[in-house]
Amino acid sequence: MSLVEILFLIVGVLSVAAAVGMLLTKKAVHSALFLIANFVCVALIYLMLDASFLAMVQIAVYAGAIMVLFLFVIMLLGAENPSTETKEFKWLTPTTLLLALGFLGIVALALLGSGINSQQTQPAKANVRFVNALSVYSSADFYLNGELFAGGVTFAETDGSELRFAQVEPGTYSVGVTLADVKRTPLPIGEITVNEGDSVTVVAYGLPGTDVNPTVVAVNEDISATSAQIGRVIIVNAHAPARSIAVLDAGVDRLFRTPQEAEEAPVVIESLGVGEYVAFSEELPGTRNWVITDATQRDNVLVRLAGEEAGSAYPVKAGQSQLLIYTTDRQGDIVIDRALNVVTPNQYAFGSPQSLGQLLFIEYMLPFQLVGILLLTSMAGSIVVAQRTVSKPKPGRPTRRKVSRPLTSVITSQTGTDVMVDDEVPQLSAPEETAEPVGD
Amino acid sequence: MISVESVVVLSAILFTLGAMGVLLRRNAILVFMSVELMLNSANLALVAFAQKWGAADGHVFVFFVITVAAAEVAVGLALIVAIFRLKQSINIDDLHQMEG
Repeated sequence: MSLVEILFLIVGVLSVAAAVGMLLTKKAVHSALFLIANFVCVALIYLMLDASFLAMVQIAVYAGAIMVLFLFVIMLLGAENPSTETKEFKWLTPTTLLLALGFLGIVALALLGSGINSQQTQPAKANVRFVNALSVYSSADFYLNGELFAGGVTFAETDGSELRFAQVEPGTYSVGVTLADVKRTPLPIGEITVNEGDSVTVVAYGLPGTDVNPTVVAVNEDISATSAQIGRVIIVNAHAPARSIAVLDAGVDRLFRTPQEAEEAPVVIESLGVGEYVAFSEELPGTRNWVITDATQRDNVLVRLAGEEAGSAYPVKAGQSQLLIYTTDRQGDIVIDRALNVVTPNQYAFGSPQSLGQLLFIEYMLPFQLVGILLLTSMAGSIVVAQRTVSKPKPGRPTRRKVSRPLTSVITSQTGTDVMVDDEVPQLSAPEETAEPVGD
Repeated sequence: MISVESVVVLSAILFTLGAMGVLLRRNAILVFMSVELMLNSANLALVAFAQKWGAADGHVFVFFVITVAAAEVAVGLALIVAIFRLKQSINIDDLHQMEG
C-alpha cells in the first residue's frame, strides 16, 4: 500500500463519517458544519486525483460561498433548533435503509462485473508535424503511408497553421513528398517511428544530385510544462551538402578576428553531423551570442543566430521549446546557409488551471456562455422569489376619498360649519358613482 | 496511484448517504444540503474517471456542475425563505399538501 492509498483511505473514511454526521445530528447548524468537513475531504481527494484547480474551486465555491449561504439562511429563519420531527410516515426509515443497501449492492455488482481497473486505457496518440527544409520544394505536400498528411508546407516556414501538430496513431510510417498541388506519386524520403505521447517534428532536408539525397530526421520534442527558469533548445543539422557543424559562444561582437580566438571560444556543441540533433535546456533564459561554425574549421562562421531583429542576440525563453534547424537555401547557383527557428509553446499539465482554461475557452465556449446565462437567470429568479410583495394603493376611488376627507375638515375648520351635513355631499360623490361601473 | 474503483465506491457511498438525507430529514434546508452532497459525489466519480482516461473534459463537467449547483442553491434558498414567510415553517411535512 503506497502512501497515497493510505492517505486516500483516511480521507475517505473521514468524508463518509462527516456525511453520516450530517445525516444524524439534530441541529441544522451542526449538519452544515459536517457538510463543510465533507467538502474539504472531497477537495483533498481531488488533489490526489491530479485535479488541483478543481480542489481549489471546491473549497472556495462549495465549502466557502455555498455553505455560507446555507448557514446564513439557517440563522435567518431560526431553523437551527431541532424541529418537531413529525413522524407521519413511520414506514419511511426502514424503506430508505432498504433502498440504500439495495443501491449499494447494485453498484458493487456493477463494479465487480465491469472490472474498470482491468480495462486498458485508451492509447494516447502521438503528435506529428513537418518542417520543410528542402530548398527544391518551395511548397511541399507530405504523405504518411501514402496518405496526404500536411499540405502546402512552404520552404523555411517556421510559423502558422501548417506547423501545428496533428495527431496520429503510434507506429512506423513511411514518409513521401511531392511538390504542392502536383498530383504525382509521392517521392519516398524516409521512415519515421512515433511512440504514444510523443511530439515529433519531422524535418525534411537534402538536395537531389548531391551526396545528401532528400531525407528526413524525426526530432522528438519535449513540450510538457517546465519551471519558469528553464529554456529548452534543440539544434538540428539539416544541411545539404553534408557539413558537420559546431555551435560556439562568440561573445558580444559575435566575430572571430583570428583562428586562435575561435579555438578559445566557449563551446556549446562540439560537433553535430548531418541528420543529427541535440536537445538541451538552458538555465536562466536570456539572450545567447551563439554562432554556427564549421566543425573542423572553427573560425569559419556559417550563421550568426539572431532574434526577431537582424543582428540581435539569440533569445532563449521559458515556457516554450525552441527548435533551431541549420539548413541550406539554394536558389539557382546562390547558396545561403540559414537557421530556422521553430518555437512551440509548452503544453500544460493535466488538471492545471491553464489546461482547464484552454478547454473552457476553446472547446467548451458555448456551454460556458450558457452556464453564465443560467447564473444570471437564477440571480434574477432568486430576487423575484424572495422579494416581499408590496401592495400598492389602488388609483381612483380610495385616493380621492383620502383627499376629500381632509378637504372637508379644512372647510369645516375655516367656515365653522360642517359641510358633510350639507346637501353638497351627494354632489361631491356624484361623479365618483358615474365612474364606478367601469371598474366593476 | 488510487484505483478508480475505490473512488467510485466512495462516491456511491456518499451518494447513498445524500439520498437517505433527502428521504429522512424533514427540514427543507437539510434536504437541500443532502442534494448538494449527492451532486458532490457525482463530481467525485467524474474526476476519478477523468484521471483514469487522461481526458480533462471530466474536469470541465465538474466545473459546470459546481456552477449549476451554485445557481440551484441561490434559487432554492430564496424559495425556502419565501415559503417560511408564508407558513412560518420549513418542515416539509407541513408543506406536503401544496396548498396556498
